Amino acid sequence: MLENHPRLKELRYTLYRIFRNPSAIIGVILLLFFICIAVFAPYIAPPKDLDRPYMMPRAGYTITPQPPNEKNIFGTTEGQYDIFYGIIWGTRTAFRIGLFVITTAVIIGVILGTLAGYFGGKVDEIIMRLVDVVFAIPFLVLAMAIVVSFGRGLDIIMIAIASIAWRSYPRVIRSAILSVREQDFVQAAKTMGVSDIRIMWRHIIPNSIYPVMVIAFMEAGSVVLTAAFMSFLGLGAPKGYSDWGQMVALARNYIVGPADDPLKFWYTIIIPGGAIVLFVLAWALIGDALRDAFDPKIRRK
Amino acid sequence: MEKLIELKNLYKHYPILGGILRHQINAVKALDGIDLDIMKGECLGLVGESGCGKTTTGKAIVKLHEATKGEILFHNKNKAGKESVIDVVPLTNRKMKQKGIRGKLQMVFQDPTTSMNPRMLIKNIIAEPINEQVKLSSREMESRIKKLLDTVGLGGQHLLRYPHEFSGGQRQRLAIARAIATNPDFIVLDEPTSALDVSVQAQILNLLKELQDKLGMTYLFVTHHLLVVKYISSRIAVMYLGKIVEVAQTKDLFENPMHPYTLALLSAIPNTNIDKRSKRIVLEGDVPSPLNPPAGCRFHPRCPFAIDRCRTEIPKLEDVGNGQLTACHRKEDVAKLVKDTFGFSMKR
Amino acid sequence: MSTLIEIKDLVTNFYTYEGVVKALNKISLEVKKGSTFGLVGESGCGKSVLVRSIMRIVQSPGVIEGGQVLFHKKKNGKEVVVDLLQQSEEYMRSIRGSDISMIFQEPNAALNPILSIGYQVSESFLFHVAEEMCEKILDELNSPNDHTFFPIKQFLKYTYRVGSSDSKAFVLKLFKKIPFLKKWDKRLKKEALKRSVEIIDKLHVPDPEQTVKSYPHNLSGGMKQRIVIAMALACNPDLLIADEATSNLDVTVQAQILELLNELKKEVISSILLITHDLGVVAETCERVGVMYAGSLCEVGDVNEIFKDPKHPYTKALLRSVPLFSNEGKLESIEGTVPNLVNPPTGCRFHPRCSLVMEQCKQEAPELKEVGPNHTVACFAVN
Repeated sequence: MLENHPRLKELRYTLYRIFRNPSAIIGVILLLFFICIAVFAPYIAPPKDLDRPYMMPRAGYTITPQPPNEKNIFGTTEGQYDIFYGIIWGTRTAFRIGLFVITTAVIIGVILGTLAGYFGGKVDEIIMRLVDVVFAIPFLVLAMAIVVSFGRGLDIIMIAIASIAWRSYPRVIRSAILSVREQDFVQAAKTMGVSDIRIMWRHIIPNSIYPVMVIAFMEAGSVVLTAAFMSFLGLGAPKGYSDWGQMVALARNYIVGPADDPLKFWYTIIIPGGAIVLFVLAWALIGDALRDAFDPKIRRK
Repeated sequence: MEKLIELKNLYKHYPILGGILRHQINAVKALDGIDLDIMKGECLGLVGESGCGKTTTGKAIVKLHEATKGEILFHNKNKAGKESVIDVVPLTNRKMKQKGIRGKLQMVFQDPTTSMNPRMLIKNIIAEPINEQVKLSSREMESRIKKLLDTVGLGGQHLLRYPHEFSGGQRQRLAIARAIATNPDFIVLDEPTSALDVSVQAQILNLLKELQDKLGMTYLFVTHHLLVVKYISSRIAVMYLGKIVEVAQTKDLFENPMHPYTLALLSAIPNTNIDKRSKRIVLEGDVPSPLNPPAGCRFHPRCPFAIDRCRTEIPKLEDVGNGQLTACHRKEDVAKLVKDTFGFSMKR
Repeated sequence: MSTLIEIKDLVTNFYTYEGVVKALNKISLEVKKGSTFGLVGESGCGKSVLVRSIMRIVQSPGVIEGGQVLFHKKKNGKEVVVDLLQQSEEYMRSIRGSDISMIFQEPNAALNPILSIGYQVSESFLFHVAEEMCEKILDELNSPNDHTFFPIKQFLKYTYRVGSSDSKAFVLKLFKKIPFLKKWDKRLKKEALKRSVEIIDKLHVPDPEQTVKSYPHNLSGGMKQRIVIAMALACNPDLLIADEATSNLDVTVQAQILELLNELKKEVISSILLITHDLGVVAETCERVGVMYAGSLCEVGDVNEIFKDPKHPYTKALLRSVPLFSNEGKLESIEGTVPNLVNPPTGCRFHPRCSLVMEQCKQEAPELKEVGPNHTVACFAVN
């Protein structure tokens, strides 16, 4: 019985469409890999200080980074912070940033976009001009202004990014809604006397959410990149926090080593940088595959 | 027969904004003064070509379009048996629900693929209109839905299915089940068989006839397909460019059409009866745009019998005797004119 | 009347997620020169797939898997029989538009909204009859009335001489890249435009000179369909295939188009293969009819025969279920639904819905056998 439940059949068909794409498989494997690391972080890299598990342990106090050895598997960065520990717990940080920002952004963006698209007229104009204004705000300036007002910290940065990140979604969902709201089934719901809110929730949003999902997935990775950038500038997480961007910031002075051995400190940059790249790649590949899977023109031939 | 719905002087103009200040410079005159009576229990066919306003009329009655001017009078009988006449034009959906008439004016759409939410199970699709009126327990709802499906010939179907799992004809039955779920008095059927296979059309038309007899509903059957409307309607109204040009009993319309446009429409129908083929009146030109309809009689540029009066004066829809209404200045002479100009007599 | 195109045992399958759709099940039919053949059937029966297979434009995941399409082509005065399924894509491209043309249901989809009408109709001429036009222009250049400036005239004579033997010559393409020389084809385009105006005029489009300068959105549906027909008839094809060409049009406009096609049959086109689900249209325009159901041909015959005395149970049921002028009684619907072609019924594909079904029908698929003059039926109960 459960086998034939229609929702499961739809799910199976969607999964088939997603996994026809080899890049999707790579993306999913990468993401699962990261999820495992994040979930099992306390076991893979046991925290030395249980109150503050996110602070990277230090193997000493010398400034110069040390290459990988038995004690520190990936080596240490400036100030002897253990890179391995930072990568593992940084995965958790990355997920925290990505999920918080994207969830907030999607909720705000979808609500505003749906109101604009469904009601049209003045409501549409006002909301879209608001979105235009937000688009015009230079993100870096805003972030710095917020840091100056509220102090630095990862949470502050997440709120700053979320306050801008929602701006793409209203336009995307509004354009999908403009075509969905003229469809017969929405008209039929109106003749039945269904209230506007119910129409939006039950009919409009489920049928226009696909482009939002695709963009959300692709942006989840780049949000982490933005946060890393902020940390690199010194606006984000405090020194020694397990954040990949923070780790790249610590390696600022060691990107190019001494003249005779320029790649001496490669591990300080490549390893955290590589983690960022793979993380963003995983989300982007899945988003790409989702877009192909959900394209309604190809979907049902 | 009693009247169920009266359309009085109904207008629907879509304004076109232009100029620097975006003021109205022109309007698409979809409906340009419609007077029509729909009798209780009848099936009134509304025919015409694209752009004539027939779909707009149907949608205006169920309030999917807001009429610009005019009245739509609905003769309502509430639960207590009290009768009243309500003008639907100024009402909102919420007011209609309060008065208990929102569920009485329903519509069946042309394309069964798009008229139901593809992401909803059919159980929820049919439950939706019922939920707007009463709160039923899930078991009561299920039994009511099953009964409805039985009525439309889909008995024994699993409720947990999506619309796309059904064939075109079955989907249209689902749409009909949804429309009758609230026991409506009146249903607008907007080309309900045009998107279906030819062999399924007969099934749906027969079902609609059966339901009308069983449930005592009134239909407005909007279509451009004259032979379909001949099969199912008792009375037919012909529209051209936002105005009604002729109204007659089905038999009278086909045997004795009075308006030149009706005549042209009838003769344009491809005829499968090889022997009884008669000469055709093929009209010149295309249907003009409702942006700038011709002055006077809307049909005069294409009418083979137009005279000066037709170019300036709009003809009124008048009774020619047996309940047949036509809007033509030369209505007394039409039969003779046809014989003289085209060489055949109109009576088929 | 001799044969123009003959289809033998055509099989086409579609490889989809749900399985293999056996769209065409060994179709065999014949279209004679100078006649109109109507192909009727419901949606999903395979009529569009059939004509697309003839033109070899079946969309993937469809594959033509077997059979022959024998086209009797006139080449340099002689008649050659060519199997279209065996030819190269380049050969097919030269056939499409000049020997066999096709028009579709939606004129909006066939016309490019950003190109003028004149450009689009000329395209057909420029692709297929460029050599002939070049020769004509060459003659004009050589005539004593021509007063072009001497060096330009020599240059033009050279280009058009090359063009009249091979319009796609490398030299001409090279000239297109060089600033002043690339204007060599101005006369060619003018000639193509002139021919476009002629053919549009033949189709009773009012004011053809103005029409060629306008764009598709300036025209109404009926006019657009006429332009599409003009594009199809530009090169005097031997066969015109009309795939539901009038289904989207208003009834009065449809009457105009059908009358037009009837008129053109006498002068411009040789044969028409008309696909429709509307039996009335078939009765008005066709001489012969083929009835298809679920990928197989049920009955083929002259129009009068089929409508007056149908033999196949499906044809009979179809005529009874459609509202016709002559039909006064109740419409009788056909029991059951159109089968899923991934798992079509065994034997005769109509047997689950047939009132005359016998044991043999479930096991074997019936072949088309003659039951009267030019009248064939595929049914065991009839034969």
